[in-house]
Amino acid sequence: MFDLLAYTKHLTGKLTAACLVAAAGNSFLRWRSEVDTDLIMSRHSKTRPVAERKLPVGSEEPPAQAKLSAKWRAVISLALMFHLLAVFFAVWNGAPPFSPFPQTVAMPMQRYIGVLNLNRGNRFFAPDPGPSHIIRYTLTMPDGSEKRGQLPDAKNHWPRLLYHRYFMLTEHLNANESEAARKQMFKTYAGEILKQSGADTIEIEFVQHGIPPWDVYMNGTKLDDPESFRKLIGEKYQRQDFMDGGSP
Amino acid sequence: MNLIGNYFVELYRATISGWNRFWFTAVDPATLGLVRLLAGAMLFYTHLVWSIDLEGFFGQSGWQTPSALVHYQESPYAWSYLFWIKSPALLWTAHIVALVILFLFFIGWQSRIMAVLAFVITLAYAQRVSMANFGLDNINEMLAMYLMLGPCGAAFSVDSWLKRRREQRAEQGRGGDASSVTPSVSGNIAIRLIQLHMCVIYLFAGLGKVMGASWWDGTAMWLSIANLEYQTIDATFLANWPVFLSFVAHLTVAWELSYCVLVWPRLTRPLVLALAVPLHLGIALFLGMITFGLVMLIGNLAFVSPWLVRYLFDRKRSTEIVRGLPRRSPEPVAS
Repeated sequence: MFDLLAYTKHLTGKLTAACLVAAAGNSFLRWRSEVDTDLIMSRHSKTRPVAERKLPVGSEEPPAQAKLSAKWRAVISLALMFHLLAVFFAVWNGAPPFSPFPQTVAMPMQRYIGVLNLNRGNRFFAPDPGPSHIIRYTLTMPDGSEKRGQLPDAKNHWPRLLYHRYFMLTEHLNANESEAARKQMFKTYAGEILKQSGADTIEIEFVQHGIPPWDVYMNGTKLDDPESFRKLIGEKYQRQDFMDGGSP
Repeated sequence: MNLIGNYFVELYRATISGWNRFWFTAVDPATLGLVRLLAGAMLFYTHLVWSIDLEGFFGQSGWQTPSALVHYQESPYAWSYLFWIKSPALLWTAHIVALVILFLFFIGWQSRIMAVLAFVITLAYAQRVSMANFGLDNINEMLAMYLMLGPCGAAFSVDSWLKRRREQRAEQGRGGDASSVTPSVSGNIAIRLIQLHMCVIYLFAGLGKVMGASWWDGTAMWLSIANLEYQTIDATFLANWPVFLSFVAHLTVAWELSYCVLVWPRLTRPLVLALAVPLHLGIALFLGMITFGLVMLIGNLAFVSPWLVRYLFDRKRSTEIVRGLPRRSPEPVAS
């Protein structure tokens, strides 16, 4: 069941802080831009405040920057610079190869980067579009029949976003360099497939599907050539193997 | 000495002035509103799809058990309220509440509050199932984060519709016209942050590709379209045009690397944004990542001027502009 005490502690420790920062930032910017800026302006001028002096649609308000006091502009500017530095160095550090310079600069910002989940590499299809990774399995059902399946499965996983979620499960499995961590996650997947299918046993393998180079393809090799599949992990599990861990 | 001193004084003044104009100019929040509408739809859809296998992805004994996920978390500071929900009933309740909030964010009802909640929800979901994340989640988080900083419900929203109705009634009472918008500095800051974040994303996407041999020898496009697991539309017939494939590969790298520079000047901006369309639609159609392709285009919308947004999607309210009012877009630094 829901662990209320632990949840409350967690909230006060991390989530509340993140929410407060977000809410405070939100209220602050709103207040500064829409209310207080007008007050500052009206101290020096008898013109109507901006919020009342509405703008024709689609246009901008050229002298608006002059209406924020220098102090508040400085505070907001510092916050913006900190955030942009965090974004830049988080992305730089987000994928290998790693350099000590961005790692050192990002070090004091790690908590901020981690809470906002900024540490993504954004190296889409880089450095090279590589082979993909799939899971193939054979289930033995309680009546003795066998069922084959794979993860992801374009025929059964719809909409495409759901297919891609399963695809990412298998792709990320390959990403971890620790063999022990990879096998643990592999076993977790096997347990979930057993649970969802109601099968007794599962024979499961983690497979890499290579892409034939252009010239090989032009010589007649098919994209689903059996030789383009390479088994990386193969295991057999029974339902009982997961009883201790709660799954299936 | 005086010459050097003057140079630095001028540099300092120009930097401060440019910085202030870049960040603290109040603008029509039309672009921000449009980005909220589309990003809100994407956030709602993205989270709706989790419903198909909610317990599998977010349950305590699903695809990603918290104990196994420890080895795959990218940061020790990653958090999510979903880690603490252990009962399936509570999980479904939290999920339905999240979907309602995201829908309200999409339509723009109580946008300022919904925007903050939408960001917390987006972050919590992404951090809980980091093994199933990809570029889509990255951009979703980024957009939700910045949308909550500005008045994202000031246009194309239920909030703005209600506000306009109130204003129209008040103005009709006085016999006037209520065709006006409130300019916003926070709206400009939010848009600027999206723009700069997009530049960082494309810069590192391009730099990452420069490390790969296939982007140099031009075979990267072939390796992408020949990947059966990604493929939705079979484009392998393009293997007969290797020169074209390699040109597209080089163009992609050049475009990504130059995006952060060429997207700012007004003359090159339309070209840069126009190239984003085939690139991301290509990813959407041929590589099966429809949501990712679309969300990248939504991010690119941050560079479209509010005047153009009003002209295209809110013609009724842009009548005044057509009559000759200012058409400037908010890019003071590049002007």
